[in-house]
Amino acid sequence: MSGAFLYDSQQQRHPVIDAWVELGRFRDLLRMLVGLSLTVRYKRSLLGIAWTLLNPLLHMLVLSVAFSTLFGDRLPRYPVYVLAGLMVFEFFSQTTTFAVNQLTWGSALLGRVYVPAAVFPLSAVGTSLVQFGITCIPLLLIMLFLKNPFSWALLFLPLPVTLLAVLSLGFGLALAALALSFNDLVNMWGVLLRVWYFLTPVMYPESIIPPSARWILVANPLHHLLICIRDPIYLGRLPDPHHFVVSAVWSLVVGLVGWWYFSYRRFEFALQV
Amino acid sequence: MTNFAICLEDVWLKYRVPEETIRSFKEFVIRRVRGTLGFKHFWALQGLNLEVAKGEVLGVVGRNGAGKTSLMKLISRVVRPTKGRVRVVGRVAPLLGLGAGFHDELTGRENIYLASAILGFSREDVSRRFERIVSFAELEDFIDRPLRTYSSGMRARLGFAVATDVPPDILILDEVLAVGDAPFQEKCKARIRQFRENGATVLVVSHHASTIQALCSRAILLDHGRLLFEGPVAETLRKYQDILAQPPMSAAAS
Repeated sequence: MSGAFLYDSQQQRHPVIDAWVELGRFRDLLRMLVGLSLTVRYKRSLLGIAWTLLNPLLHMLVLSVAFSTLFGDRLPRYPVYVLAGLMVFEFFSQTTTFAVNQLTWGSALLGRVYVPAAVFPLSAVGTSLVQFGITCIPLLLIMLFLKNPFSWALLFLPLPVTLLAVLSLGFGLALAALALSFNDLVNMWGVLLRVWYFLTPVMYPESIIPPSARWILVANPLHHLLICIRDPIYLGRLPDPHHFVVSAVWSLVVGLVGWWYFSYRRFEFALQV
Repeated sequence: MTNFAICLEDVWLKYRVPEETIRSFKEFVIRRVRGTLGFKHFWALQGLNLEVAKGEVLGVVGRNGAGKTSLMKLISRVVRPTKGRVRVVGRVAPLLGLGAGFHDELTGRENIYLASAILGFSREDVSRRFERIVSFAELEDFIDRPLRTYSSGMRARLGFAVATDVPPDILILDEVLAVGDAPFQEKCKARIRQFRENGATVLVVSHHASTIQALCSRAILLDHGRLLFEGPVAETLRKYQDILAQPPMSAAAS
């Protein structure tokens, strides 16, 4: 590296933009962190990375055994319905909690080395995206086995999945930044996620929600995203456009707010350590 | 072009510290409701002016909380000044973070790649230099074992080898030379000497007068975020001794 490289604190970009630009230079780190979190988590376990698959599959199996008869009339091919829903919700809950873990690990570095702090939450999103991709394989097999319709609507999926990633990132960034100051926030988030899970129609049909409580669904961004992702898979048709618009607005707003808040506090992280 | 390596002009750095350490959100909410939530503004550096020439070896002394670490953080770009201007020419090797980017479950090999990526090096770049890093750290036989099986000396060796493999333009030494056994320390010192001969700028932060005396040509004395003295090593160290003899004042806060 040349000695001509000059850093001038007065000619620095705004932190919100700087965080984005600097990420380009640290692509390799981001890639590596994703690879690590996929392998390290299972490094000392018997089944290794197979856990990535087993976790949602076992979950789906239990729910299918328990609820197939209860919801079977309204929801034929129940395992497909549940697995698609679980994949969406797991993506969200895993990304947000993992973003906190990653930043906690990385925070030891932030006071010492110049690293764009956002790589840590971003690596959580990357990890979830890979896991989502892997889980698509058993989903496809189950769809084939249960003779689920396949349609061109599946090609639409990358769009809502991207929105899901942006929404999860926004929450993850804000949560990670807050969790560095407040230890108990992660526990509270865990409780909140549990409630959120039961309020989102992952394992039950939307129709069992009474009209008086429908506002809960309307206010829940994950519900709209869930429909955008599940409809093409389970029903083989494109979702109602209004769900897509609502999802997009939620994702962009949360994503931007999370990014803004996180990069604004980035220099505080370095001072705290 | 410029002939300085580091230039600070009227640099102020403010920390916002809560009056009491609040580590839980519950407590935060309770205090907010009661209105007893207060922040202190703590000026870690107050109007610091400093120029370090290229190739200079500068010692930094001062009591705990005098602003030494803040100065290092500003130079390694980890924080930005609240007021004033910081300019740094060249790549800074932060030796104060030795081994901070390591992961216990990974092998030594994987950790070299990880720690290098944290320092901003690309994967292919590291591959090219890999053998050299391993042989400097003397870890050829252990490189494929997980880091958790390493002794603290081995970790320190690996950390130093990764951080200094590419000669930096500016090296920050923060009490880290106590790594490894005596022969390895000699090796570290030889490497640092070589950097100096090649024109690197070195900042030495230490409480030990002997370390500063052995390495530096000039030294500065910080106290309460201000530059108290700047000059020849012997004189700075004498002033430092004087300060240490005084009873400590309460921290500057506003």
